[in-house]
Amino acid sequence: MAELEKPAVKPSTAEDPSRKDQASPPPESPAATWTRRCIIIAFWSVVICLGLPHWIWTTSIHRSDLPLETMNSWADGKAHRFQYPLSIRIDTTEKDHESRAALVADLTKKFQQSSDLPLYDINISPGHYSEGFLPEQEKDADLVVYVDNESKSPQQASLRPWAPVLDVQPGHAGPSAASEFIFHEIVRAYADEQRSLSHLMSDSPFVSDKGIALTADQKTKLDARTTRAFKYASMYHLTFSLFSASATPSAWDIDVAMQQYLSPLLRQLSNVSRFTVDTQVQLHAAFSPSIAGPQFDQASGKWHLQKTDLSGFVNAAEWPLNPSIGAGPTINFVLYVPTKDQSPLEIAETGGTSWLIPQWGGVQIYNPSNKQDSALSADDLEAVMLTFADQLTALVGLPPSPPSLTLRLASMTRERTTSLILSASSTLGALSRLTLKLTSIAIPNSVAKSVDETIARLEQACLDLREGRYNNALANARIANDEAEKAFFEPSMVGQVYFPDEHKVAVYVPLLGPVAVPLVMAAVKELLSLRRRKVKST
Amino acid sequence: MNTITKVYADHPKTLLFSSAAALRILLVLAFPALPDLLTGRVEISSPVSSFTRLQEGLFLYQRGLDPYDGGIFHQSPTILGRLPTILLYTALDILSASNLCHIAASGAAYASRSYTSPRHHRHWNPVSVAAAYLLNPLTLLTCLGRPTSVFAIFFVILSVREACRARSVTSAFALALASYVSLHPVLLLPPVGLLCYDRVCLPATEAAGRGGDGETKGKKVAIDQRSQPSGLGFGLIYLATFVFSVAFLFVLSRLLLPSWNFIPSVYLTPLTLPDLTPNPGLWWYFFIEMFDAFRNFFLGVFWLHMLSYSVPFCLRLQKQPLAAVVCMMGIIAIFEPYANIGEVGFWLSSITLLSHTFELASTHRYTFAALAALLYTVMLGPVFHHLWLYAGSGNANFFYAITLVWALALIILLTDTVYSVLRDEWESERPEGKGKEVRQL
Repeated sequence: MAELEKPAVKPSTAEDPSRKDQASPPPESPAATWTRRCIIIAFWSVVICLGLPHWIWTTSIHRSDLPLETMNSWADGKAHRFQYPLSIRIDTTEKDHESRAALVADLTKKFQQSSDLPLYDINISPGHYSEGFLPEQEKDADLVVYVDNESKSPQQASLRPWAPVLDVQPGHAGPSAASEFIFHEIVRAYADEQRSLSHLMSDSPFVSDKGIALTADQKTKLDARTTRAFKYASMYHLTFSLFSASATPSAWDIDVAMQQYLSPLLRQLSNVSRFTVDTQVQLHAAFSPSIAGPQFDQASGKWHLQKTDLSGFVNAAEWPLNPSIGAGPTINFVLYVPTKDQSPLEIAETGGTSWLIPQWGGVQIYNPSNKQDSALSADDLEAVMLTFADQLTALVGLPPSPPSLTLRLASMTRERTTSLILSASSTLGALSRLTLKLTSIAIPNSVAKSVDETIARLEQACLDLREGRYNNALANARIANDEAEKAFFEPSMVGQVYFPDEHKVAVYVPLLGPVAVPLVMAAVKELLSLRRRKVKST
Repeated sequence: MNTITKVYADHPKTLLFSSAAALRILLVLAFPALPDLLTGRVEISSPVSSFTRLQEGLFLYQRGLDPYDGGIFHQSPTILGRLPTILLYTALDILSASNLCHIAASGAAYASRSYTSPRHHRHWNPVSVAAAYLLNPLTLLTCLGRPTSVFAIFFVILSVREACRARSVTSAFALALASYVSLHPVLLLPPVGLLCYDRVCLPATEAAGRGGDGETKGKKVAIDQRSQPSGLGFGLIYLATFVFSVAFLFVLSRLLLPSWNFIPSVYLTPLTLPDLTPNPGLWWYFFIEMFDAFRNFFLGVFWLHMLSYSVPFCLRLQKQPLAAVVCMMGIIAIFEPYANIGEVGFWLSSITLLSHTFELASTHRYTFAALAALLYTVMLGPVFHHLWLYAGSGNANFFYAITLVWALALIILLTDTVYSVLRDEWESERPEGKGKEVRQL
């Protein structure tokens, strides 16, 4: 700008000696010098007093302190060693205290010596056999072994489906053979779970030397189970839909069928997650246009659905299947009733009528028997609901064995807790690496808060695990995992990820460079002349 | 015919004002759709002054709602009385012109307490200055487009006029009103204060000058400093009046409205620029392109840039305070966040207050080129805006390039003004340099 303008006579050409006197400009008046200095000071004071604080204030990056060491110790698997305490109670019908104690001591010794269940801390205690099994007794122990010495039947063992109870009839064998038998039955009940747990840990830093080697076949099976199941959530929405290809059936007795066939399972599962249930009926449901549709097979007189059509069977465009209802994933169960002329309809290769879509839900084809009612009764739905129940267990990640549902649930709780702790820990590790690598990204306070919460919850979950409070451990691990993901995907952090420091030059220079040149030059010139004058005067 | 000439010779102001008012009203009567068409133009209506947004705010206010809740209305609350008509805008224009006339007649442009321009006889007739304002096509379009920035312009001119009459309290109050209507006139506080101080001291100086012998006339006169108010004290009083007036207006607004919401809505909008509707200014394109992380920093840089000229102009042009005011108005018109042609038109007209220096600018500088560029951008700006947004055959760069040329032409005019004012001052110190080429060292 023109603020520094001090017009002066243009020096004439040097060749003209007669005008030499005029060549040098007349000296400035002191007032003019002072005005110029004041102006330069005025500009610089705006820059220094207002511009500089503003620059620092608006462009400084807020980096909250993260407990990096703790985060890394979690990520490296040093903060916790997975060990699952199991309390097993041996109830015998034997009245003799000594022989009962001997059996318990013998079993304890066997578990200490063997390496069959390395991941578990097994604690065996004696108990009293009572015929009427009370629900609260269930809570004292993870597994209750009833030894019925008085039974005359041959050696056998069975798990009760709705209780963590192993009924053992040692038969006529001696005490040592009986304890050997009980030992093997207990190991059998937990072998699958242990395999699954060590598979979970095998790829993480938490892997322990105690882990057991798995065959490739077992690994594929476990992987398939994991991919099929939904991610763990505290709330699932179940949607049961009846799609009729024609106008009938137009109603189903789903309430009664639910009560009879599914509610017992849901009651058990509700210890781990909560469930909401919706149902709907849709008539004249057309096939998806992307599939070939059923083919009539002359030989069997049945309609066949090709295996390749199964993935596109659900007509996502026209069937009203909500992707999500509120918080938590939706599990869809679709019952499809084909038209009379296309009945019976089944899958070509296997002859089956139901299949499972991983992490989405289950589909079934219902071929009505000859009587064409407009409504499906609860009895008609029995087989359907049992298949759905089976699919539900797979979709929520319930392990297929052992046969007792209660033990499977306990198993699932431990597996879910383990995988959530592993995932939260690895997220913490990734976050810590990210903040160390990108020194210019902002770390808002919310991230630090989430990280603290994650670590606190992880510690609590591990404490719960060590003390055998598996349901609490699961709840804490889930919160820990949610918080860790929230911290990692904080949007204000992600925005700055790809902004290296050298790009800042390109941001500042185009505007501030040209502005700075006259400011700096004027200041330098003025300071130099000030020095020259000082030198002259001294 | 004779009577018209006679009327013109006797009452030029009456004739000018009545014809200007008639022109405005006739345009509205002849083309009833014209005001609404102009209201929709981005060159005239900005988000902080648009007439349509005023209607929205008024609608909400009259139904007992907080007009600032919707996030559309960003204008000051006292306008909310009733919808201003075109007659009110015409009246404001006439009053502004009349005030400009008084400023020109006061001689503040060419005579101050320590300086009288050697070219003072070349100044324009005050009526011509008023005519330059009233008949300026940019002013005319703005009047018909009815943005509320017209109120701010009116109060700024009023404040300068009161400063020329050496009335510090009314001047500070008028400036407070202007700043209250739209934020940026607050930057005029130092130059207008200086002008007012200069006019307050002037009578004493003139008296001293007259009281001296014939020899001292035209030379520096020793003035009794005690007879004059102290600069610092005057400045503090002026500032205090300004602050109290603003506080009073705020309290008044709070009484009208249900909450204090209006303060962030009215005054943070130009500061943080949430609405990036294209306008003839330099901000919108820059902040569309700016990275979010640096947005706040550059908002500060742009505002500090405007702010940083305020005091240096006062220092350099302390002998010609009205020139400092005009130059600062130019800075605001060019660099304000929600620029519009109304402010530019007002500034271009107020340059005529410095008409005694025009010969310097036109002989030595690039005034012709700048004015030609202004004409060219006035034509091409709307065309490119249409090509970009309606025809779809252009892009944002078309319009932004034109606004750059527009700003460049205005900056050239501003530097020319500063040059001629400074040259005028220099020639009074060194009469031997008159008419010669000079250069800056």
